[in-house]
Amino acid sequence: MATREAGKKMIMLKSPDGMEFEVEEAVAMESQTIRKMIEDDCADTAILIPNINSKILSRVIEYCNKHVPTTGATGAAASDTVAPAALAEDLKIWDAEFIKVNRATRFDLIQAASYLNIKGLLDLTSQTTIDTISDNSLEEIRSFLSTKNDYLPEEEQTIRRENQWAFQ
Amino acid sequence: MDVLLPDDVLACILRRLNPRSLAASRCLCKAWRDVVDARSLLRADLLPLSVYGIFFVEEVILSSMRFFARPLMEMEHKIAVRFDYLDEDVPRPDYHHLEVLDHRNGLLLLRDWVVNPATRQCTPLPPPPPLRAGMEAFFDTRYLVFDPAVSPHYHVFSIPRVLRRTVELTKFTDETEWPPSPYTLTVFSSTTRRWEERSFVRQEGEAATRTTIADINFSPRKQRYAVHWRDALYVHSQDDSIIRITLSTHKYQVIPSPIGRQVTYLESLYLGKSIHGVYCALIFNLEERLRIWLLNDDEVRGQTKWVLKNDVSIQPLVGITHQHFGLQNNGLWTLQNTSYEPMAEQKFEWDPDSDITLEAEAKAPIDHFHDDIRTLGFHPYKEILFLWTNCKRVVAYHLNSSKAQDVGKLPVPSIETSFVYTPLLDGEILGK
Repeated sequence: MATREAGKKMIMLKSPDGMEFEVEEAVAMESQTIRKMIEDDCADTAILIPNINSKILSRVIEYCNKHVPTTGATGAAASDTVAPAALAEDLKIWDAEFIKVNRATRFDLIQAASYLNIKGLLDLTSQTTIDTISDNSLEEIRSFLSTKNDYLPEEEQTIRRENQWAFQ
Repeated sequence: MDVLLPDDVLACILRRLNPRSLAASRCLCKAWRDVVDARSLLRADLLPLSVYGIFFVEEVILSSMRFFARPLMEMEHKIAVRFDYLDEDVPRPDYHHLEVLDHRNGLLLLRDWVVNPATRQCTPLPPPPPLRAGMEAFFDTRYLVFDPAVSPHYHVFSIPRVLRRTVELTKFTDETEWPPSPYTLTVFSSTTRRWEERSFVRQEGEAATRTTIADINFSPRKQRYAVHWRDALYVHSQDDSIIRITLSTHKYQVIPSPIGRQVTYLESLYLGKSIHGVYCALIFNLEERLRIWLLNDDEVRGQTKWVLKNDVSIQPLVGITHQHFGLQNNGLWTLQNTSYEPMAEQKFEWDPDSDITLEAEAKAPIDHFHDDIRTLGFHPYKEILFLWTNCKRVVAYHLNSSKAQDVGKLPVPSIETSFVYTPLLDGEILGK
């Protein structure tokens, strides 16, 4: 395992297209998937991140770098302490900038966040779609997401009956 | 369109939806249904969507919960009827602890516990904060708000109840407006693990009249039921109106009961949830009539109206005997003894000819004295009302066909409180 700055453990992440990214362990552990690998001692050498290309992986690392909790003097991760309001506001603005990407990139980020299990990033990338689905009628969801209803009337009746409790 | 949301991305998103939105999403288009089904994202079979039986208490005090249900052998998941899996530290015998106050979507609310009898999990509630100054003489009634199809979290609402001595011991008088506005309730949230005070402001409905403590019926009774429907908790209040507490807007509205404040009859008012929302069933034992209303609730315009759905004579039920259903038959459902001894499986063929149709007109004049017929509760997903007849049979009354179908024999002396039980077969009780 590489070490750079004193006291800071470094982890090597590899994308399938051959790029390597050296990141602080604390940053990598923003991903619950990587955290599990590290805790299970499966991360002695570089960790290969399958299915996530270097372009997306670098953006994910950028996100984690920004969102990793600052380390306190004792060395314990300060994840329990609430970030000051100013810092939270700053993060919000940063997030809003971060998510200004084209749709294909956003989908890649959703998949990456899902695979790597980074809740904040998944919230950021998919919340708009989730809100659309949660808060609207089927007809509205179809129109927002340009999805076509391809059920025959009798099929739709059947499937609606199967899920009738959801429309109560 | 096909590149709009690739399946894998869609799956990532759908995985994060609550079960209700997920079920709705299956109906959007075939591609969405296939994504949900291929990855088994929706486990509707684990949600409390089917009725397993009826939990009931024979008497208000000193009796624990009993369970009337399909024989347990038939059930994939056995329901623990006795609460012997509760923490040993609970002082025993303390029946107070085992009194079941409410049921909502598979969770039972005991005085100090939230229990899932399907998974045998239980979580103690922390002691509530001390009563506010001036309210020391109040008692509270607790209700559970929980819908696992929307959120794994639950709330316990503690609603102050006025007792006779409250009026004597406090600054409150008969003229005090009740419920007051703002109406301060103590609410436990499983998210924060804390009891918190929440104030609800009165919203005027068109039919609302101001009531005072003098309007309260102090007769010792009995369960007053509550319904959680959409964003609101509907509580049968002490003056026999229904209070709709809207959770998101922190407002409440007083809805008069379908028959105003005729207290004698209202003793048997059962407020329940079924497929179209909030229902109210009333048995007029003297007149031998059953009336069922559905609440037509337009919250936006503040208009509420009870729509009479059924108004029938229950005389055929008063007259029936065991012979009618065949003496040998215990019925489809039976009284369950313990959680661990499965009942011997019975073969029972349901005989549709034994159904009784309830009609609007009574056939014969009333000339006999009899025990009461009691309401046991509504089926939450079908328009069915469960009734307990004076010959100790449980019947399922179908609101639409007006047919009463035998469910089984329930030989107990009395039934005070009852909840139609829908098991929640999965998931942790949060808030430990």
